[in-house]
Amino acid sequence: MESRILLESTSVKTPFRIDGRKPHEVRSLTCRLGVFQQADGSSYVKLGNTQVLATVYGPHDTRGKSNPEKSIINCKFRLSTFSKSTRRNLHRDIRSIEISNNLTQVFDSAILTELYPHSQIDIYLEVVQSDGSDYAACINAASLAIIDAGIPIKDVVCACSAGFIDNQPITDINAVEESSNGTPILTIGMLPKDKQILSMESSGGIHLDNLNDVMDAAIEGCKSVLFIMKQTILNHIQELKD
Amino acid sequence: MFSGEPLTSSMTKAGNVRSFYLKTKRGAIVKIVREYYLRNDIPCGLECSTCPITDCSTKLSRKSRAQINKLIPKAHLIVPDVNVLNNQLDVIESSTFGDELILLKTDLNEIRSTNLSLFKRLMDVKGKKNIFLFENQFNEHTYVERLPKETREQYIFRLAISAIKWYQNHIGKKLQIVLLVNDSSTKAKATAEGLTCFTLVEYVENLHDNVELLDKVVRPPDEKMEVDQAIEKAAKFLYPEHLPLAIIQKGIKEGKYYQAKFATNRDNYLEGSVHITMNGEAVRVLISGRENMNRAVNDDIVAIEIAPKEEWKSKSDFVLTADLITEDKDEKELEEPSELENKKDKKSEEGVIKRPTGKVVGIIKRNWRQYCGIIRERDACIMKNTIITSHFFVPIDKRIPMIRIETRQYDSLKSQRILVAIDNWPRDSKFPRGHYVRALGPIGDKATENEILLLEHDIPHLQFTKSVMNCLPDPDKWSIPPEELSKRLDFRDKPICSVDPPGCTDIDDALHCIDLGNGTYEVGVHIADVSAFVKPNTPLDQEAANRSTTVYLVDNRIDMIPTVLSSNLCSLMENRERQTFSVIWKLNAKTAEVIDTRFAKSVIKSRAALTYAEAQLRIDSKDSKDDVTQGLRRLNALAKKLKKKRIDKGALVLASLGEIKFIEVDSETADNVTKIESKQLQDTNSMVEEFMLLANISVAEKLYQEVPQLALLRHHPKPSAANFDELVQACKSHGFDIDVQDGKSLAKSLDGAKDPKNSYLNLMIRMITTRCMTQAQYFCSGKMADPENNFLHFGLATPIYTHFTSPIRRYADLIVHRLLSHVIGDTNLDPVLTSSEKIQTLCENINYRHHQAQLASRASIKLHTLIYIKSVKKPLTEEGYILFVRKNALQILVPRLAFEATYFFESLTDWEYDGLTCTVKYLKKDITLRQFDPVKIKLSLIDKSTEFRKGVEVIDVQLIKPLIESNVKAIST
Repeated sequence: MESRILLESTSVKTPFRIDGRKPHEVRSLTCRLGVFQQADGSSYVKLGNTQVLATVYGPHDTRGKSNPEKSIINCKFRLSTFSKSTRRNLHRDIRSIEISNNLTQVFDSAILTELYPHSQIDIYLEVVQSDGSDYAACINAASLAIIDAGIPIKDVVCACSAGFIDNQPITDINAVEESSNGTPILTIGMLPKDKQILSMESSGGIHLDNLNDVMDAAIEGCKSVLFIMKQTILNHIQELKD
Repeated sequence: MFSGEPLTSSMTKAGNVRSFYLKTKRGAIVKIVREYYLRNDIPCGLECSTCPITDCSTKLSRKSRAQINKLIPKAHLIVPDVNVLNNQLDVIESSTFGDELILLKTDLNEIRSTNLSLFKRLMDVKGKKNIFLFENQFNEHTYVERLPKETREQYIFRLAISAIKWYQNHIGKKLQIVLLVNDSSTKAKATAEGLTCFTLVEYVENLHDNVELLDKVVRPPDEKMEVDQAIEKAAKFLYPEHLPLAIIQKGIKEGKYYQAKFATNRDNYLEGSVHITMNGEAVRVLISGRENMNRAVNDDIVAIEIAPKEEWKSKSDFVLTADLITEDKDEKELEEPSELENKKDKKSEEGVIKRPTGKVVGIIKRNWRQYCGIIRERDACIMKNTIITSHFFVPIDKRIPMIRIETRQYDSLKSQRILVAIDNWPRDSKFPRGHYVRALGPIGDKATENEILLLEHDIPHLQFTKSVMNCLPDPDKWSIPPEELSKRLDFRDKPICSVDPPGCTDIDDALHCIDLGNGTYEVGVHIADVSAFVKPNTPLDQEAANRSTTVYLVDNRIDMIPTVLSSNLCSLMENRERQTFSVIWKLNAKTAEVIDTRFAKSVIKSRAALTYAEAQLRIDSKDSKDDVTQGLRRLNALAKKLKKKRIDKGALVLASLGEIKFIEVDSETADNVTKIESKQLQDTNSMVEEFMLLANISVAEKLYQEVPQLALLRHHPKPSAANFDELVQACKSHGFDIDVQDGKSLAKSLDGAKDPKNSYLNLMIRMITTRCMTQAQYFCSGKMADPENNFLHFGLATPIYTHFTSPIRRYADLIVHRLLSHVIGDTNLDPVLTSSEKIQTLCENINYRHHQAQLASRASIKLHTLIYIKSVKKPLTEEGYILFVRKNALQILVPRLAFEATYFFESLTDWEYDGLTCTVKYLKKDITLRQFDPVKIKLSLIDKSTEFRKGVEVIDVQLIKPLIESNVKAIST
């Protein structure tokens, strides 16, 4: 079962992936809001074995530069040293910096920043355990934390990854699938109501002919994720009411 | 409105986690955590009310296997366990075993991780039979967790038991689930769990129709086979033990052992060799003798140990065939050659370099396949009195040892060619043990022999499947689609013609040449655009990729793509509009220099499909002045200039014996091959060839320039000087010096090696040169370092080369078409072709198939030579030349038949061999025979039925001039 072949080769048409999912299925998703008291908003997202904690501080006064027209978004993404099977310090990892920058852009356009001029919003993301699709999980976690903090946002930003293995688009890539040689991965973060794509990030080569299928798979994944996220938010509000 | 959907509810418990420890390559131990999902929507494969409906094509029936077995008359389903799948696939595969079967996914995974080729075969079987694959590993009811300290085998067995228990509960009492296992101890365990379980042997023995099946059952090694008395007496360990894999791996790491592919010598089955890299140098290590070979069979991956230097030997010059050896004499024969060899070594071969020798210490991977051959006939009288089921199987491939099999169908099989698989090779058995797979047909039957030829060379030759044929257009209604017409360049009005051998139906190239004025010509080479029909990733494409090449046999052609395409829609027939891929040059009319090159998809309408002779006639006849003829004349003149340039650069003209053609006079009896004609070479042959070469080179340059990582190219490495030793030595003995420094000097010295008295001498030297060379191969440019040296095509003396001109019969050309089509911006590149790894994998398959195809055509010619000699019905007296002198044989070339006969010395003591001057002396008559000497030989056919190999007709060779009397048969190889 530890084979490198993730989906069955074409000669054996079985519909299951290496972990027992069908190609379009997203791993089990659990979300919680308000996990920390100190922060203005916080959330916990568990996507399969990928676990992310998100905290939001702000809007608060800036230290240094400020923008008179809108709030500055500051995102910090970090893979904790114990998040993978070997302990590694990934503090200055290029990939982490890249993800931080991407997240900053996503939430800069999703949050109604013009309501808070001269201020700053900090979003901190900590990957406690990494098992693939870290970036997608982080977008979801950050989005929930922002909602928890009560910062106005255009919509519940949701994200999901998709890939292409053995001539088949698959949704929500796990770490084994990610590490298999040459798997292209595409992560889409979107505003579901307007069907607007905020972020589309890919690694590995995707052939132009397959791009549409992979994008569709990712968008379908976003839909599934959104359903759970919305329910979590509703439940949380219900709890607050009670 | 965008609304979310719940996650699928059929994944039950969310996020189960399994963790285990793995050792990495560097030796670190890592904890791996994997998540898995168990589900409740996995179908059972039967018509069932509780299971979800599947789109799966296999449906098991509730009445399956009723009334076929005495053990359980009622309907039942069988589940083979992993050991049965591993060992008894031939039984499962056969039609009498029954069609319906359940396969467990966990077993399948186990097989895939341990034996990939078996896995592929199993998948083939699955395609043919009604086999249902049960996904027990993700089913919440059947999954069990691995216990601490449980071995892999135990765990897989427990998974199987859990799956079967669930099945039995699930399907109710009317249908029984039966587990088939390989040995009785496993059966006991399964029965203790309350399952219905039989061993495969039991099950097969109780089948109603089992005669053929029983022969196919592999007996476990612990079960004693019925052995001949004589061998029983000698029962002792004949071979040293194989080392366990762990020790081998350690030894390889330390440099004590080497891993290599074992190759048995074609001429001497008691000698093999391996190629290894020792101290950074490629070395061929000789392994001789049964004990040193230690049960390694041709193509196995083995671990070897190098012998100390003082034991090193020179290559044995013996030609030894299994035919000479019978079972009793065996032992003595084994000693004899090596002793003799040692003696001679000391005497005459001090100057010869010694080769390293070694021995096999272990087998890393067996590469056994199924072998064609016959059952060795036993004495009729013994057969009458007793029932013997143990027989010897003699493979056709001389590199494979005899195989002991058990069969109860001796009487019906003795006149048949049969297919046999090796099961195991215990230490106390001289020969490997195997089992019968199927019968191919009567011995000597042409159809049977042809099939064997294809099987032995691993050539996919079955008819194209339906899914492949569905990819084809209807040839009667097909015409070039209008959108294609508008996209392509229109060459329909150009004077295009094709020139091919007579009777050619797959015409893949056509030419034209127009005078543009001011001393330039426009030359176009138009290649059939097969890629317009064969789209990537269709079943048609996959089949073509697998076949890789069209195989030409003497009386048959195994097409790469279906005939509808190869002989009709793609073939550039006269007066038909066809889609082509064109290369158009502007050439200087005087110097034949290329001024400009263009590539384009086009449409043509060939004016004439000519044969070489017809084209020659048109060029020669002064009266005809039509466009086509004028074009041909220009082309011919240009070709001569191109050829001269090429030869000046050092291209080699390597002759093989002129191709011959068998002409069947009486077509009603297809066995009658009565005439042999050699093919005539004409100017026009080389005219077409020159332009094809030019096209290939132009395309190769373009591809490498535009997609340097992805170009599929063909190279022919420069052979090392050592490869030419044999050639240099042979020529030296005749007073010719061969300079093998580079291609140019080699070509020059080959031209110089001529003897007015012996017109075939030059041809023979060229033939030997060809054999010294390595084979040209396809490769992907992104996977080859050092383009300056490694891209070289030595034979053609061009720095870069590819194949573009025959997409109908070569898959490589089709890939090149697709790449070029992308380069000129015509089509998007198929995803498969975007990675150099994938192109390289394709290349490796193509190289393999090409090599096999070559061997098959050669074997086919030999088969027909034999049939020819048979049809003449009297001994043939032929002129021949000695091509090689060996210690115990002469290899004689017969130009008229394009045949190489081997003359074996009757008694080695009568002959004296001198390796340095390449001569042998017949002591009785004081005759000395030199390499390249003309001889006259008599060829006749001997039916060897009464002897060791029955039903085998061999060509007997006798020397007539100089006359050597003989009464012992010699055998052709």
